[in-house]
Amino acid sequence: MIELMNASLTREGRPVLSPMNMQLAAGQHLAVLGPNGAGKSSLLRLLSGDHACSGGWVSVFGDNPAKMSLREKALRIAMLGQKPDLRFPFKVEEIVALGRYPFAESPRRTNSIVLEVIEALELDLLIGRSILSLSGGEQQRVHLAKTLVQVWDLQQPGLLLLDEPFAALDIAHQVSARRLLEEMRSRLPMTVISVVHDLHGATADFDQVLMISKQGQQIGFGSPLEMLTEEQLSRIYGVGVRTLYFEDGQVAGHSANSS
Amino acid sequence: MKISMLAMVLILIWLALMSVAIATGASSVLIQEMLLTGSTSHQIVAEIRLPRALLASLLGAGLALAGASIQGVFRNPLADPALIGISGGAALFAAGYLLISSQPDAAMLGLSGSAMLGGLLATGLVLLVGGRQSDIATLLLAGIAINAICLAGVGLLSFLAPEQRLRSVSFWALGSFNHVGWSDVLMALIIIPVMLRLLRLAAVLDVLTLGDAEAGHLGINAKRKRLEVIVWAALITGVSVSLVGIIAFVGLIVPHWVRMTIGAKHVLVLPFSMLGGALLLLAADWFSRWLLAPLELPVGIVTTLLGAPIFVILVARWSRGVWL
Repeated sequence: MIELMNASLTREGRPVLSPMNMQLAAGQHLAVLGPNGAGKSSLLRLLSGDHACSGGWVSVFGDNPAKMSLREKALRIAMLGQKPDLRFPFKVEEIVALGRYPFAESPRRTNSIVLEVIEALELDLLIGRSILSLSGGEQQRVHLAKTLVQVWDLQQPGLLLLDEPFAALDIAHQVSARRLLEEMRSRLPMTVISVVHDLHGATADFDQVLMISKQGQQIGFGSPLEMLTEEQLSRIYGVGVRTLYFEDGQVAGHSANSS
Repeated sequence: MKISMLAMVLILIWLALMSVAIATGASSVLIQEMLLTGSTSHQIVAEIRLPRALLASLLGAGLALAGASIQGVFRNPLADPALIGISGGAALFAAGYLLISSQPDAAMLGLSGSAMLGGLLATGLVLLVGGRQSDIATLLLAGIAINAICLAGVGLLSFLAPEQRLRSVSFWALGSFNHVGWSDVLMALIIIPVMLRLLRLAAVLDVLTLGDAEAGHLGINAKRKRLEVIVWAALITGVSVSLVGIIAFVGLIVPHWVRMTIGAKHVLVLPFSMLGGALLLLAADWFSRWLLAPLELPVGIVTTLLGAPIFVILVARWSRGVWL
């Protein structure tokens, strides 16, 4: 269980997140939605233990992540943050292998996991290439792969935090990445929390949605169908949002109108 | 070329260079006399050229390793111990120690220790002034400023010091192996355990290049590890500066060449930088003896003449967003 109990965050005297409340069952996939500057990435950093709560508390499977040792955290919590600014010509597979740093294992084991994830994310053709020579979308996929290898063989309940994981990916690679994530979730004791902007497919992928307003306040927490209503989305983004449906009643997507 | 093959080739070139450095110089030696104890040739080789060649190799390896490690922790391919103030601070403190110490020539440990302390303090000051440690421009500018202050301080100390009390400003600023002997080699041996420790940090340096937050998510306390690497790099640089003065650019050129040749993984970058550094400084020292023989150029002039143009090219490429 991942819990936020009146968890708030103040940075340099400025309130970033107002008290948040949430109970997310283990194994679920939560989407965090909100406009730019709402504090979504800060919420991930509260959950990863990078920031400690200014008020209230955070619990990740019963532990306060800000109090866990870095090593203990690395074995249970993986996070894809903003794309790092790399300046050295590491090869694609070398960057992905860094995700296995916390584990004392044979190089052969590391290689086999790295190759599995590289294949699943269709990065095979980039093997041997320098990360500096890749496009933004390709680099994003490499960093996603590095994060996924960290939780590839989770033995104990773990948490995967993803900050806009599909932002720079084309549609085909979004589909393969989402498929891989679902496959991992079905096989591992893994809870996933993703910050997303793209609402397409949100209802299908996510079990729960947490909405945050521009002011860093929790607007709501619940199932995608409850949360992703035209009223809620229009309210948090400040533009008129319409929900589009397939013929069978499934949500096809959302469209903003500027009028 | 395979990695092991490249290592073999570099080791063979080093051995060949060692032979050239030992066999050639201002006075000619007879190869058949080199092993005859008591002969002039033996004396020149055993007492002057061999310790000099060994010291150049050892310090070259150390400086290149320090450069590669510093670049890793600062995530900055343009960092070099001499460019970011470590060497300047080391020279200032070493010169200050020579001035106040009652037995300047006997206290090599004190000299190296104060050089290391000076290097650390200068680095701390650079970080304080430069702020964000990964910002290339501010780090280099702060380094230039601190270096200028330190070298002006060395100049002032040399000016104020009684004759023969302090080595010349040009010794500190441009480095020289002119006076070295076995006692200097013995002193330099203390960098070997430090180099071994840095080699063991190769995987940590890989992770640190992702940034502090990412390193934290992979279980590494970035601040603590960065401090450790800076301390070891300052120790190597301090020992080197206290023995032979500032030798710039070895720590910049060699790791850069290594990354262009075999990639960025520190488990390879660090040992190959050591090999390349040993080769470069040995060759530069031999060249500085050979060019105007029997006169000797300070070796720092050779490394700077080689390194500065490369640095200019790197800065120009960096301004266009190209790292290698």
